Amino acid sequence: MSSARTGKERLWPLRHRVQSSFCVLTIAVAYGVGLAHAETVAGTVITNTATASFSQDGKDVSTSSNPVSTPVSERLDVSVAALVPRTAIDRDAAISAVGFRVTNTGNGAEAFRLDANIDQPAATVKGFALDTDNNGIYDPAVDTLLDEAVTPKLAAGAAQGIFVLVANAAAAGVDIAVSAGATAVTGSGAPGTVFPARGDGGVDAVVGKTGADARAQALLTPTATVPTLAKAQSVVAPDGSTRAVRGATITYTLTAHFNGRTPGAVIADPIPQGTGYVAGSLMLDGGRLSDGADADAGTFDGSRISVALGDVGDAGDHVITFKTIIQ
Amino acid sequence: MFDTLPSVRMIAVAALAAGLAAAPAQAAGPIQVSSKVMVEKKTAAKDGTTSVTLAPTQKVVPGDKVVFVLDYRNTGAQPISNLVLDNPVPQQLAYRSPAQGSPAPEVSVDGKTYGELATLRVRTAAGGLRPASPDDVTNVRWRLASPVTAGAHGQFAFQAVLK
Repeated sequence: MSSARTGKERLWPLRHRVQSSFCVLTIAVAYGVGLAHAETVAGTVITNTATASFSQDGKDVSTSSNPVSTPVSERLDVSVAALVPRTAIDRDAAISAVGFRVTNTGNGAEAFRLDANIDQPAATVKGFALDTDNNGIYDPAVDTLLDEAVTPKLAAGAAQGIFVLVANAAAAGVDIAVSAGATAVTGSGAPGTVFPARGDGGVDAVVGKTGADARAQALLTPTATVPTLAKAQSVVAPDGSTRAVRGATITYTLTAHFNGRTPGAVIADPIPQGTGYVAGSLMLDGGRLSDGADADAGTFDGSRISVALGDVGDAGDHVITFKTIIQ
Repeated sequence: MFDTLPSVRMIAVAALAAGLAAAPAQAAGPIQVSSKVMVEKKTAAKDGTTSVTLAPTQKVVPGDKVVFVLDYRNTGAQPISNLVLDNPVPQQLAYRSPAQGSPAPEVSVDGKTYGELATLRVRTAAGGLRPASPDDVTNVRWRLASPVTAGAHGQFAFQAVLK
């Protein structure tokens, strides 16, 4: 019989190192509303009247010109920016949300049609949500799903956060490029294109420099939450008992659990003081590893064992075992 | 819109006063002033040059350059002296310069004091004074030094940008 103890309290002699080639930040974003210099809004009527004054028969006389009224047309412009360049895929959530900011850079109230595409066929775009509370973080309980992929009308200069909702993001296993576009509902096209009487209050709408069509890209990145490592040990004494006496053999079992793609994973464990490593006892997932620093993943350097797992591609467990003898 | 309110009110008051005093209705007078708002239209010619022509405004959007043109004519039989043409700059527009071919106007940043822009000062929020910029201009005016003879006419114009 052998006794086995498993638990986090046994992790203290263990060092594990997980190298990650990237880090992921979640940043709350406040949206600027309004431009620094407010533009004249579409539909404003500009009226100009000049005055002439002169002397006639020794009296001062003044007269006004005809008033000229010029309605301001609606210029259709838009910009789109990613809230953050990379968003981590939440493996526990069915949907990964990628945030963008749509800014109405025109001078009228305008709604924008949204579209999105992704470069990995394993994942799919499920729709769009509004960042209702404008905090830059997708919250299904708060942030409104858009039945149709159209934003509400945004005032001139106003910005609105939106989320592209991606399903099966984790299945791709690699970075997913998410591209989101916004197009003015009134119309878009070559700058200068006119949509007669389609602007606010019936004024003409004119496409501005952006073509009233803009897009931006962000990445959905597979990321492992920190891998977990559990250590267990069993003791077999020379007399067959489980007493930890001189000459007893301790078998250590390290179980590394990965939640997803993890580049450059290395597991190392020092040999406890008072015990001696049993040469050739190092195993990975049931296969024997040599102790030398050679082609295989395992090494024993005289004081500790080390197993370089390299780039772990998928979620799952890897089990390392080795033996020591109590001296 | 805001700009038009005071003048509309003024006209209403003038009409009321005329009615009360039973004064003769204000005649068109010997001086007729007409105002036009034009936009610059750039046309690329075959030889690679670009010509700029003025066209009546169909559409203006923020950032467009517009030209305000004032035509005056003495329709009376007598010469008219001390003719002054004043054009308040609508608040949605930022004054830029005299239009090509037009004499430079005197400008004002308060509607009271006129002069060359370089001589004008604007009070800052901190209580100091700073040199005026074209954006500060509220009025432009032209004063004619010599009398306008019967039947004579002329034109002034300035450029502005829609804010």
